[in-house]
Amino acid sequence: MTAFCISVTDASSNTSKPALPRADNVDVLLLLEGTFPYVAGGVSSWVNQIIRGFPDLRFGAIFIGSRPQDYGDMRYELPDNLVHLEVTYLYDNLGGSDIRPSKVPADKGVMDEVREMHDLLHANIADPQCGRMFASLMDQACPHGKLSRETFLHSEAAWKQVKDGYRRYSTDPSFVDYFWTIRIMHSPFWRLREVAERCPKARIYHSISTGYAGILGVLLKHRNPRPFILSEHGIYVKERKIDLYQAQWIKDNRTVFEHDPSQVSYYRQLWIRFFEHLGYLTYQASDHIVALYEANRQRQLADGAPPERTSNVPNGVDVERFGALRSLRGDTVPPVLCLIGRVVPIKDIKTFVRAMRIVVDRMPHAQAWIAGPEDEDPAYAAECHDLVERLELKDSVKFLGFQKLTDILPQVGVVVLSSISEALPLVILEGYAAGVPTVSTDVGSCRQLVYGLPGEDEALGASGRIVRIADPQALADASLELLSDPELWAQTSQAGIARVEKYYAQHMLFDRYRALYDQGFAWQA
Amino acid sequence: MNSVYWGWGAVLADLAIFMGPLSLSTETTAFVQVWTLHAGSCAILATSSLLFMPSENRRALHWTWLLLFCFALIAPVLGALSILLISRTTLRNALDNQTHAKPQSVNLPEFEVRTQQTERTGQGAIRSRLTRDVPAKVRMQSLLTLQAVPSRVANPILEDLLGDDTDDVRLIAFGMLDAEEKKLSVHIHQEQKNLEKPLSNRARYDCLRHLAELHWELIYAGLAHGGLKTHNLSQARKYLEAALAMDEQHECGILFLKGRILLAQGVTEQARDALVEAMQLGQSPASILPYLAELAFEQREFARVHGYMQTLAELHVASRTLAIVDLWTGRDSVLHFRDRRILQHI
Repeated sequence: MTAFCISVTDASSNTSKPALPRADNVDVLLLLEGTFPYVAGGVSSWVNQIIRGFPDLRFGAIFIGSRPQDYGDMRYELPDNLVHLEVTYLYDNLGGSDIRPSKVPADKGVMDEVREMHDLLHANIADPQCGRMFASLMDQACPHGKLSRETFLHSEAAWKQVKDGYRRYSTDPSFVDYFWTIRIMHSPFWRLREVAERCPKARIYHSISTGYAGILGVLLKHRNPRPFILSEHGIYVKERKIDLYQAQWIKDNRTVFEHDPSQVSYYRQLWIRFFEHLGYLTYQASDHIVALYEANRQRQLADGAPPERTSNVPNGVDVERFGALRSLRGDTVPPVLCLIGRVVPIKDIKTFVRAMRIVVDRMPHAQAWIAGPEDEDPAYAAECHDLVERLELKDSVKFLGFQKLTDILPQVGVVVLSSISEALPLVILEGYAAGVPTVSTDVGSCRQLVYGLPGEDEALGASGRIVRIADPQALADASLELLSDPELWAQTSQAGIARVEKYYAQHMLFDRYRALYDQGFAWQA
Repeated sequence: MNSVYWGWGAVLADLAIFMGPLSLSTETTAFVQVWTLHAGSCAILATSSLLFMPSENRRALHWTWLLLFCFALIAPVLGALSILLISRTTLRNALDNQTHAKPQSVNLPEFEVRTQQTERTGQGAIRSRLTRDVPAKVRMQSLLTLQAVPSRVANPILEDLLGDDTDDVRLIAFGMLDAEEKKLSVHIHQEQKNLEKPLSNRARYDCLRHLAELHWELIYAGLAHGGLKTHNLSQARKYLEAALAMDEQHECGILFLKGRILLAQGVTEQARDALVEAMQLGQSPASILPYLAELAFEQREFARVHGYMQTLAELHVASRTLAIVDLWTGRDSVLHFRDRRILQHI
């Protein structure tokens, strides 16, 4: 879901692909970072669902990616009411090829403002001046403005400011790393500003995450004051933090005498703070902040979202469409465990494969299907194939690639989700609607989806099983429990159907967003 | 400082020009020559003065040079002299204003030959800093500290954290465990690929042994549990037996590994035979005897456990084993059994 990538060496063209739809104005402009239409997955499906769910509205979309080579072809057919699509890459051709040494003048006043804003961000991000200063500085960030990209990256004043920042704040000995980190960190803002400048006029801006998409929303709202809705599936800042804590590309130049393993390295801290600031500025600029479930809303509040603007709108699925699949099922429970999702580390496919070793030892005819594209992280996909081979599971584990769920769900006994992080997975709901119970890890709102929220929801009964993350034994035990007990399977299947029909039907999702959009349109009227 | 000499040279040259016979001549050629030479010396002086200037004062170089040149040109000799004197005085003041750290002599510390006694913090201390009632920042710091702890100690703690309520803690623990597992998996995959190639007997033996060790390492580091542990043990045994079948001259290390794998599989008699054979072939008793003691303990033969402990008491064993040896042999001088149940080091 992220476009965040630090590699900047390989640069190619920064042009949008031809034949993309264009319009001068739209009703809702979606701001999408690393998702629809170039990446398949839950968030992309949701975006597709929302656009198609409001055929009377004209949608536009800005896709923000890292570099063109990180994405393939479009994964979705564009809906007819998507009248504008623009693609921009933040880390493509960053340096430019025509840079020659020349003296770049800088306005002292604007550079002082830059310094003041950074001081303010350091001292107190909650200061309302931060957002205002950021937006007004970005006003001057046009090619011939006082804060052009060249001024910020190449002027003597900027060099002095970088030197000064290093002396004041850096606890890492490497100035070279500080210099490049600051440049790479700030460069995308000028590209986002260019996008903001040429965007079509919109009646509502709708971002699907904080981060760069959120900041584009901040810039757009500043230029053209219109309602700004933020719908977060996962929590962007949290996901970036987890990535950054484990990232291998961030250097730690502390010597053995300076190194304290309990202290996060300076550049890691710097990047984490950067994304926290982006998140905070986006929350402050948003008129409506939507989470999928309560725990995520609480996290948004902790990260600085104003409570009165937050709400929960859970995902919903087309119950009628998937419900029709129930009649296609046989009388017995098929011994098929199906993981529907991309073959990427966050889905922890390896734990599913390891669990299958245990399942097959006890139920030799059981089959595991992994239904999802493998091209997003080919190295990880190769590791998964190696693991299948090493655990001697070639006859039992099948990688099916991207599949239409309506084709495979009638043949599945249990939908398995071994992810280490999720929000409110659509595949569980789609499985429920088709009458398939689930075994999921205890992530995101999966516990609430399986056991229900306290009250009437909980009284519907368990619609599957929840296990700890990265626990193949527990995953295998729970799956075997469901597959080997037809009565239990039937109970969980019925609970799943009842739960999805009552709480997670698609029309409920559309009703909530219709109300949000109408409120935005009414404000302008 | 060469620029100073150039400057003084230019002043002397200027003086010579105006004191010399050319300056007394009334001819136009002589007039032109005098002023050309004067302009040349002024140019040298202006350039040397500019170089003489402290770097922080070097602004608008072209204009400064022109100013110095004109000053020297308009007032022959005197102008040049004034420039040099002013530059010299300014530089001296600037140098005087610089603060220099004065060297201080300190006494050399006495060389400490004793090993410093530090208080050890074991698993318990780290675990206590990771409990749910500890502030999130401290928990995160403690979690990161585990990167510097041996995986055999860190991994069980990380395993526990996989069920933590906080996403960040849970996912970082997962990331650390996954990285550890990935390191071993990469080696296993590489060795399995090597095994498919035509290899010499020695290379094949090394490859099989390495595969057995890597599978064992997955278990030893706590990265495989339940059914997966059973599978990895059977894989380790398969590769080990294939290696042993290739070489009749068994080496003690591989038999020690065989003993531990069999012990983990619960094949106790064969495990004991392998461990005893490893010891006979040269494996140190300090590493074998604790396993034999464990086997005897599981078979409820406490007299044999005691015997092994007596033997271990005479050997140099690791501190953790030593505490157990002390307990069994009564060397810890604890009077009451209830006090013995507390092992401070664990």
